[in-house]
Amino acid sequence: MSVRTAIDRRRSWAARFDLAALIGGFAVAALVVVAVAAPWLVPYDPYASNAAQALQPPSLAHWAGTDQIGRDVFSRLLIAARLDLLIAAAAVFASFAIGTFAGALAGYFGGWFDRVTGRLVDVLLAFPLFVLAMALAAALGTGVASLIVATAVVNLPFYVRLARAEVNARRGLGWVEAARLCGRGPLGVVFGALVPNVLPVLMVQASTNLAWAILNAAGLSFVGLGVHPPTAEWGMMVAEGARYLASGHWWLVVCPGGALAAAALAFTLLGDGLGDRLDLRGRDG
Amino acid sequence: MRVVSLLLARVAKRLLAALPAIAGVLVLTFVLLRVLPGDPASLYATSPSAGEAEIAAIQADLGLDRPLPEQFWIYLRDLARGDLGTSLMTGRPVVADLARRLPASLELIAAAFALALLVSLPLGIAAALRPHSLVDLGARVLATVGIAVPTFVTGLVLIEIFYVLFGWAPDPTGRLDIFLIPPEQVTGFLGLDALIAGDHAAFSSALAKLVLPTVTLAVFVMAPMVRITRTAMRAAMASDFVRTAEAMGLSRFRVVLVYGLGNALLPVLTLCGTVISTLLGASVLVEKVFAWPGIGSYSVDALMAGDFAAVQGFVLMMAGLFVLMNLAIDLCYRAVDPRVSLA
Repeated sequence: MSVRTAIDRRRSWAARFDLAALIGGFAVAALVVVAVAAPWLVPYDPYASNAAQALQPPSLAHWAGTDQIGRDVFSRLLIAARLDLLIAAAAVFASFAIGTFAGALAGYFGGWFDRVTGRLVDVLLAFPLFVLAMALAAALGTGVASLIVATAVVNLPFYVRLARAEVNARRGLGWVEAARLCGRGPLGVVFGALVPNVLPVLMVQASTNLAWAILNAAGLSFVGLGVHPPTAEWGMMVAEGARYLASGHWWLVVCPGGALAAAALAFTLLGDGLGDRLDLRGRDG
Repeated sequence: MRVVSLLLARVAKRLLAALPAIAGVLVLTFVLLRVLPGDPASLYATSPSAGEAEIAAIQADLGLDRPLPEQFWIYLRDLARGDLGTSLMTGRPVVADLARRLPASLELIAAAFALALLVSLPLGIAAALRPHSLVDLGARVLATVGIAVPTFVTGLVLIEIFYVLFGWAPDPTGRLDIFLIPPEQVTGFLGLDALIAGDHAAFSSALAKLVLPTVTLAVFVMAPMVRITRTAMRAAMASDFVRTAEAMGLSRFRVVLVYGLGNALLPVLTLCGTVISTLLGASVLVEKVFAWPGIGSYSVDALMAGDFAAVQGFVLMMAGLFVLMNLAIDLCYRAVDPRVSLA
């Protein structure tokens, strides 16, 4: 490789990443580090109550104040990052994997399988998304697992449709024919050749989707369908803090709410950046 | 006359096409009700210490001892008669509860949708006409940040600022000041009812109470609307027909609004389906935050109380509303896109 092409490559790499996407990427990385290292980062025990220190505003000792039973809000924010990211990541991974699998098969083979998945997707999309998530979470019973399943099912239609459309559009292309002629079976063609080629599009969807999944799970928790107290979860912390808002304890709402918004913003920026980059690559050839 | 009959034919066709999905919705809500945790019969019982015999009698009364297919048939039959069962919380028919509370929800959703359109269309157009300007930057920031802040947090922060800190907004609970007597219910839309009754105090109170919830709900859907308007408008303004229109010396106003916006409206309209889905869902959260007496807060209370009939009725009503609104959007295509024919 000559020096010339190395420089060209570096310049085009820089051009493909705008500032917002970089910020998003760093923020996501920081979020993951915080979530993983939370048990060692917390300044106080997030579950230890201290009645003498209840409802203290943010200070040097308690960066985000204390809640109604004197727990350190900052410690709870950190430990909650684990649960919120886990729920969102597990839900998005589940809908990504199942949706891509079903959508790719439907797009490649068509026929009755395509029609059945299409109808099922129509049924799921006939509900307002959050209402469907509420109904599912209620039916499954409160808890982390039902939050994950409810969020995953609601997201499923988008992956099925996207994977189906992308695979269907490519199934007659030359390199797919080539894979077929190389003696690969139908499943080998779908999962060996087609799916790897449509993965980038699906990954962009997944990144933007993570932001939505975080907000969806938090919303379910907010209406009381999520985790049980005293578990620290951002949506439920907002719901608990809302009761003390009128008496001037703003930090109980603003801090967990800000954490939610920051996490969702980070994933949105990253998704937008990845999407832009994908567009550029497509245009370059 | 011909237009009307064509319109009706299209409505019928779209409803027919929605039938499989509606059937699926019915099955799904039925199954959800059966798998909800807890035994409805023991909840209906007179006391927690009700004997086995009493619970069995209630089960028989509710039809819970029959096989599932028969239960499904009974459920469909009751539904056809407009019977969604009785609410545990209120002791009234679920249909009556929902009908009484629906106008409050529709009022909120319609106001938020109108506000979102009023803000995001002009903002998206302005951003598209002046790329990389301050307006464009503002639109991009709104489009990115707007979807990241959850509705319930927006609502609570607005309450903190405008009610707790400055005291500009009225007490953020319900639709009317608690010291006012609600006007006689005619339409169910409080502002309209107050006007009909000629009650100015009730009208201004209802309007003031509507402001914060409407803004909260609208902000959440503005982001994607600004984004799509901007993108579609930029594409339209860069097209050949706009260049031709400009070359022919048409006024800027006419070029932008007729040729630019006229063509950019289609993707915006397509997005409206998603926007309405989001509005219906997010209204539940906003109603909870503002103690708004609509069907959303009713469903949250019902979930907490284990009131299955009410939850089921709510889910069905939401799905029904969504199907109707999608139908309305579909009919709007005709008005916007001359290529879509009614036939």
